[in-house]
Amino acid sequence: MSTFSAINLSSRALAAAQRGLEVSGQNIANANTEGYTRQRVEQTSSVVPSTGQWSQRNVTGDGVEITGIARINDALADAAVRSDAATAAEQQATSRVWTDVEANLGDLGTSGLSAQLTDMHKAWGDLVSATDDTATATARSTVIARSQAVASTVNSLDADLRAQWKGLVDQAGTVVEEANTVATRVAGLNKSIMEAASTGASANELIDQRDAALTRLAELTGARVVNRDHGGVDVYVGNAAIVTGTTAQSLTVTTTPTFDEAKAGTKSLTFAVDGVPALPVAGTLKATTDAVNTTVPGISKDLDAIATKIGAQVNALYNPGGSGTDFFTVPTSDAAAGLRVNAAVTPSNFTDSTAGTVDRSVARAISELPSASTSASAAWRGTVVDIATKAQAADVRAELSAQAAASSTAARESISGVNIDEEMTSLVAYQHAYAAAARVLTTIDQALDTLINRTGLVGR
Amino acid sequence: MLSRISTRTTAMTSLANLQTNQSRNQRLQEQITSGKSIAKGSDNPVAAGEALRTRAEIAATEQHLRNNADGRTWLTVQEGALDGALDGLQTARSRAVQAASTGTLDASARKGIAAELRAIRDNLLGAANTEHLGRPVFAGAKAGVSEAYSATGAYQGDGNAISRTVAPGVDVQVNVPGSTAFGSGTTASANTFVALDELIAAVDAGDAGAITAGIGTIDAGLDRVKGALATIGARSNQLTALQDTTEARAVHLSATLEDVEGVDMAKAMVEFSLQNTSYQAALAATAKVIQPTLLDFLA
Repeated sequence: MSTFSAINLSSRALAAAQRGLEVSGQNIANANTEGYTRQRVEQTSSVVPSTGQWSQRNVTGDGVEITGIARINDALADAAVRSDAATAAEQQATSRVWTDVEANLGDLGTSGLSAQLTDMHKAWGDLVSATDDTATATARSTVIARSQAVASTVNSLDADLRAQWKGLVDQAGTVVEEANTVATRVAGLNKSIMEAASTGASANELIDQRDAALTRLAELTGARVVNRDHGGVDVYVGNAAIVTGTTAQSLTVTTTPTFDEAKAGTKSLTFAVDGVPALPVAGTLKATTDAVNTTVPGISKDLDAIATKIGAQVNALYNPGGSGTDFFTVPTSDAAAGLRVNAAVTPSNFTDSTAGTVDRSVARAISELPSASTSASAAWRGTVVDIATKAQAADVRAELSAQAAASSTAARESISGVNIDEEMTSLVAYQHAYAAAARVLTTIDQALDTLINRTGLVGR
Repeated sequence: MLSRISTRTTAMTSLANLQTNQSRNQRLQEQITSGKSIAKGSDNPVAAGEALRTRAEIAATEQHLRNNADGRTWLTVQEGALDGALDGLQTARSRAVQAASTGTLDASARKGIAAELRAIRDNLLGAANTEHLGRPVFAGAKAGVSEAYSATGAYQGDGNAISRTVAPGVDVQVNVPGSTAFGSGTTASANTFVALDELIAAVDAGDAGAITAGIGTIDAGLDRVKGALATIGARSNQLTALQDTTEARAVHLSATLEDVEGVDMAKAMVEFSLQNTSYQAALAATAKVIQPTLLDFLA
């Protein structure tokens, strides 16, 4: 051991303490940064190589050595955050779809289609009591107007569903676009991280950024992450890889053009990566795809069935046998969009009684339609309750999955999050270490001073 | 239990809890101010379905009550007309008996009786042509008729029923066709007006035999009117009874609706103040928890 090795030792101790202060500073600075992973200086006591010809006995160590700056994380907790975030995003998006459906079609009976249907049947009921020609003409006009209101309400409900469907298709495009941007960023970060790893530089902040990007990608597409050598990751949507090492492939979406095709059962949204079919397994994209492919067209079909029922039940009584004029015109497909009051029906060309009488038997029968359990009104009530039930279930699932995501984030935070008290403690510890190392240096310095300047002066 | 607490977790958890508290507060506030326990179907699908069904039933019940009132008006109008007709026919019969039993009456006395009978016939025709809101009530259900009987006493209507639905599946006929109440056709035994005409002719002629025969046909006419009145009375009773049950049902349905979607104010207010207290406690706790760090105690 050389005379000056103690100075070298102090210098290393000072550097280590200083690095410790720096890292604590970095942690404190990022105490509120989302997704930040706390870091710690990894250090070990340095050993003097003691084998060899000239090695001596009773030699101390060579001070301290910094082995790295560790990122305190747990891969399992990180993966849990990702998958829970994907589920939460999916359930949230599904719940939003149902909330929108309910906002469009929801009905508590005070307004909306069920109130319109009630008004329509009331108008038929009032027509029964009309006696002279003037009252009859007025009552018939009311029936026609109320029936038109029912038809146009059904039409606008259908239009709302179509608008929602279109919006969801557009949303899928936006999500795919964002997913591609994020995937490109992941590939770029992969490259930087692998470079940093190869040069021995710290990539901790880059890894944090990539983790955030991966979580976002999982929220969007339910992407699966596979770790690779040298710090890189691969990302899969379904079974198709959108990030392989440093290259990102584009996720593409194919849309069939019309709502009617979706109702006929054609899948409207399909995804592919470089020609390989990709099926989002979770995330916003899965919720959107399900809504576009299944949910909204299904509800539209329910609405068509209701529209057909409204028209058919009135027509069956108004025009029994079907040889005369129908009251409603109902197209065989897209009934909800095409339900109309027949233009040929006017107050003067109107059937409300058995031919040649004023018994109003037709009007009476139509006014009594809602009492039947198979009536269009009852079917509509069934649909409304069904939608409400599904909206509620979706809401509950969204809430639960949000809680699960919050608790897995909390679990990750408990490992990787910054605790300011803890950082203050290590700050104080490093401060003391620094002061003590400085004291060691001055002590050695003084000892050397004594040796150099005060020895050999005897008798001078 | 999490082993290690990060400063950020504390803040985030506090925030999340405050938000939960606040949204509970808001929901209760909404219920209290709107007076409705369900703002949209998904709040409580079962109750929403119940509310929808109850509303539809209330609408049907109201319709039935309106139909019932309309039906009773029809019956009252006919009853009034038939009461007048009954009085007239009874007077006519007693005059005819008078004319028959005192076949020796002089011509002027017979003339007086005949004139009275003519007046009765006119009144009877008026009663038979009684209208309700522009519709001759005794004309059956025939379309395009302005009166039930022509001046000659010929029936213009038909024998069809006009009905009102007054309860689910219950149709009540609210008209008595003129053919039942006053008869139709051209024979004295089948048409009260022809019977009166023939009686007047017999009285004019002083033909005692014909007058006696006429009394028989008037009796047949009286029977028709009495029969019609009995029918109307029975139907009136039926409508009144149904009105009582339907009204009771309407009250019951309104109560059900209130039960289903109304708010129990006392309960809601208690819950609201409890919720408010816990919100304030959460606020106070958060203010205390977030503040201190080791920094506050390091020199």
